[in-house]
Amino acid sequence: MGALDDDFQFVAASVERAARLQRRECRDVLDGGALRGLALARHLDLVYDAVEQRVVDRRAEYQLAPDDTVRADAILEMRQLVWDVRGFQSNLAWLAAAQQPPLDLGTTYFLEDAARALVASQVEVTVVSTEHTSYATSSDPWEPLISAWGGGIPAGEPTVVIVFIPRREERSGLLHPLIMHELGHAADSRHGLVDRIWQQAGQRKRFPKRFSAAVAEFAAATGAGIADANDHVTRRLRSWIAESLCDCVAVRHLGPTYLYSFLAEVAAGSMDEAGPKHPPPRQRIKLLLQNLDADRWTQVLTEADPRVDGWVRSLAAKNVDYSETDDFLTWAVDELRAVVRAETGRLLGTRVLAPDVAQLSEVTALIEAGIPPAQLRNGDAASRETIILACWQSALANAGGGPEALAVAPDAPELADLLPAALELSAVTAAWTAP
Amino acid sequence: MSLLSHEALNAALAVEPLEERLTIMPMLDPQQQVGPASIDVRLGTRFRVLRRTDESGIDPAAHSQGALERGQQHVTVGFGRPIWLHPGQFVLGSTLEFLRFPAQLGGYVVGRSSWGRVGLLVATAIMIQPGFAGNLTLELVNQGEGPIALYAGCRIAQLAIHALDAPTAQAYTGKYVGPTGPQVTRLAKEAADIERLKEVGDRLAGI
Repeated sequence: MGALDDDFQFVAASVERAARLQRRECRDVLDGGALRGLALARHLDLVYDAVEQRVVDRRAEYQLAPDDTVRADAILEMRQLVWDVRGFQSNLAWLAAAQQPPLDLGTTYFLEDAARALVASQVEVTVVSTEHTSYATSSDPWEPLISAWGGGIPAGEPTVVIVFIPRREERSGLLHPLIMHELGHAADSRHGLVDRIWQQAGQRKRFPKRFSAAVAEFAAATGAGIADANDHVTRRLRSWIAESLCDCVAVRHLGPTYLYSFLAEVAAGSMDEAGPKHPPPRQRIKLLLQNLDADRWTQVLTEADPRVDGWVRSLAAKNVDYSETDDFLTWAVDELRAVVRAETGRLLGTRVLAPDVAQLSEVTALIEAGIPPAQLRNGDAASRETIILACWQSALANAGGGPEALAVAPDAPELADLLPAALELSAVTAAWTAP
Repeated sequence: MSLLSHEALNAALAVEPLEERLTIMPMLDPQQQVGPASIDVRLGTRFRVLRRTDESGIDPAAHSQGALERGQQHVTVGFGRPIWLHPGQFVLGSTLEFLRFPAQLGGYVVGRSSWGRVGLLVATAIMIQPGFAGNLTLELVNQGEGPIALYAGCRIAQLAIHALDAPTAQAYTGKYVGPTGPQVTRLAKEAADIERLKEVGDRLAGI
């Protein structure tokens, strides 16, 4: 046996050890009677199966290697795999989060219910509190690896959705509605919504011509080939469409709540910066307002806080010139807003939130009396979307109203316990009275 | 002061305006929960369990509020899911329902005999003052000889509410009619209730 053989066996054994170490924690969850995180643990277990299978396959290939170049490549791949598998340890924190969710039970019930409606009836949502500065999500994150090296994810296995929230916002119940945007990404992964919008974009009158012009402009400006320029513009536009879609899902599901949460979290950080993956916040605000007006929220917005309403509308009304590709992307996202809205409507169905002023008024009265507004006088559960909206309105009013109130409302101490309790009790009441 | 009757309780729950109303939020099953002269309340989902620490004991004169808090671990169970209480174990729980008493009403929270008969003590600080608002804290102690599964959402205690009294037309026809001597618990008769809780818990968990 030569030195390369020893190297290969050493590195392959190291890969197996890294997988074995982490698999123990999956087994603890799977064998320990846990109620949460079971699908997550099963997926991770499949990841380690896939890694071990890859080592087995590579060992077999190594035996047949015709020369040292091929053997050296195999060692290189195994070394890379050592680091990849060691890196999987961050997933173990996800398992721990599934066992000890960072969010309260009421918010957890709310998100799980929404995920079952938007993503799949069999879905497992794990919320992880992280050092990331903003909210993010990942859907079936290991599916490519499990499919490539292992036997794939068995049919009927729940979709695994991981939602990341900034640690600082764990108790900011009024910002958690941003997670609905993240569930929009999970719904897109599952249902191919952006693919459908993309197909419809190609059929629109002015779109192909302007797309080609943007590609040509980018190629000329950067010296890239047309194919690369096409990939670049396509990738960015698809990302922007995805963001626009997820905003639309969230705002049509939550009404003004999402606008308020978006403003408090996103608009404070930037306004006219066009990101690689995100449209400028100003454009997103404009689209949010258009959707809210179309869903008949105009009066509620105005009456809830006239200063905030006026400020937001002035933000949206300002015209900004964007350069080169960004100019095309902002045009395209505007051009596709009706298509995005229609796809969102199909996804949400009856979950599109319509203003219910009577319920909003009843819920608001309970909040003002310090009572978690879980149940209406007729015995029905108060809608959780209405509860959060009424809490936002109450927090704005208590903070004196206006844009500065938006910034501090998520910390409203009078709602810190009331909102989670109301969401939990409303979920229980709805489940209790469901047919 | 006398106990509110079934009818008076229902009237107190429906009073307008809100400030004068007896609020019990939510009331999942009014027909089952409002008795002849009491209202059953349910066990909530949040608990505080005493930690094993290196402290020698609890000395109100020597311990800050923070130290007392650190001596307890927060545990949350899903609705319809159990928390096990072992013999001698003490856990703080609370009612599922948020209560608000108007100024003209006060009350007492007491255990239900079904639980008492398996050795469960539910509350020691039982007085509810007029104007109280919140979830009632329950001091749960298993004085029995075997572990007890307490399901979040089960009817754990009852409220006796005082203001004015009136005879009830709702004669008691429950499980302990005409007892002659100590009765064994009829908790088994609540199996259907527990099944219902599990079913609702499963629905919430998407199972």
